Amino acid sequence: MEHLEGLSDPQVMVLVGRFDASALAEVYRRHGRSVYGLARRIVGDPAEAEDVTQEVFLRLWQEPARYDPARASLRTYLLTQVHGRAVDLVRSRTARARREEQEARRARDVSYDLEREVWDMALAARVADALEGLSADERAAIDLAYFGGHTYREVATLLSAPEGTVKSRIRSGLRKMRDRLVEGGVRDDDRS
Amino acid sequence: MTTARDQHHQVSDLLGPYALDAVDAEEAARVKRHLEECHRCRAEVDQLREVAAALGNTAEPPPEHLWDRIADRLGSPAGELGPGARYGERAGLAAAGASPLPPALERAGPPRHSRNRARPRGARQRHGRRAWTAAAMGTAAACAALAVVLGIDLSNANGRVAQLQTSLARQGPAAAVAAALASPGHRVVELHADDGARLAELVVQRNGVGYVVASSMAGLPDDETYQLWAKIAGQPISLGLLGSTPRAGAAFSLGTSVGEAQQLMVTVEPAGGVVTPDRGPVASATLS
Repeated sequence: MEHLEGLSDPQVMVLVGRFDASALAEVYRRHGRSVYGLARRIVGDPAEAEDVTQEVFLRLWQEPARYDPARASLRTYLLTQVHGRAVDLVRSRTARARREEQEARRARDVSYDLEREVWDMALAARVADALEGLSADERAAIDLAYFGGHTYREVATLLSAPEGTVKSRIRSGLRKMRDRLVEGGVRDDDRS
Repeated sequence: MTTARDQHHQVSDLLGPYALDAVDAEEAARVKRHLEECHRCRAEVDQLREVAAALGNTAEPPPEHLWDRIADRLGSPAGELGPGARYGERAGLAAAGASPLPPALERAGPPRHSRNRARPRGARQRHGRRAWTAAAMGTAAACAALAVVLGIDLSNANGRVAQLQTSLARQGPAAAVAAALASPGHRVVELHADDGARLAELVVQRNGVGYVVASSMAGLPDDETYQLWAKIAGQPISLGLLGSTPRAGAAFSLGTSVGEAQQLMVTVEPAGGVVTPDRGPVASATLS
């Protein structure tokens, strides 16, 4: 018997494009945890993470055609969207609020690791393995930029490194990770 | 004068930071403009973003009310599908014992004739939800555009869609739980209190995904939540929060540890949940 659960992400998105709310519910069921998880990790505050998550899903509902399955899996697309929104929000905060937030975030990271273990152990292991392949400098630059929401200029200041160096560390680090992940056969789309 | 080549050079330098949203607004606009023309850079950004997404793929169950909040904003003009209508629909489901899917499904309306499937959705929209979006985008145009983007032949897809919507309508909102209960190799787990009272029933599928089938756990004050745990190799691992009033259909996942879990249990914790339970379970089940 066929129902939404048996459809691929792009097929479900066709239904979302036809204003089928149950299809959006299915997208939420598949990817809501990841979207909220990343929002929470970057913005910290649960209420703000909810706002960001809501914004991402409403945008998907209003502009489903912005998602191009030829360019990315739906999970990647949604995580890219939520990351952009979350970072905008973090940047709109005052410097002090940001610092406090980041300290609080560090204290919470333990629980994220536990959750991760349960939800996505295989992928997490591959990502951890891919991170292993980076130099400490590359890892620090990527971590501050991606999870800290800093621009590469801010990262350069934080690490006392030239801007050009930080730019290339981010790029080379990501490329190395990609090579490792591709080698391990990991892509983040769970359905074909 | 800046040649296209120079521009490519300057921008390609920014691709890494751009993929992580680590550029300022002016740079982001510059990269974006370049990506519209440059195939190669666009492909690289796509690849780098895939890596970033793998890095950021950290799951955390969102609060239960979040989907309701989103569903409420899908374009329903106030009053058209008010709480009365919604809870009216839900009342029938409550009798069936479970409402496992997000409310949008519950509100998806009565079964429709499958031969209407090929027509643009707006034409047969029951509740006028999303009317404003449809007006803004042009429903038919939006569908057509999406079909082109997705490279999917709508005339073929429609048969499939018709089938699945009919089966959904037939199954009703208990579909996820029903499907789990019908899946090969599933297990039904009853959680009992110390005094032997049966407090909840869960279904766990072979792939590790499970749902609350029924719960009679008492409602908690707002600042507390039920938290579900699996004991794996003697260690309690959080499977997520069930909220202050666990609802049928709440989903959780044991992931690949599904075969290794020795025990499932529920504790009462402060609203945000805890990393390690320091209180004893209010309900538990030993898995054989």
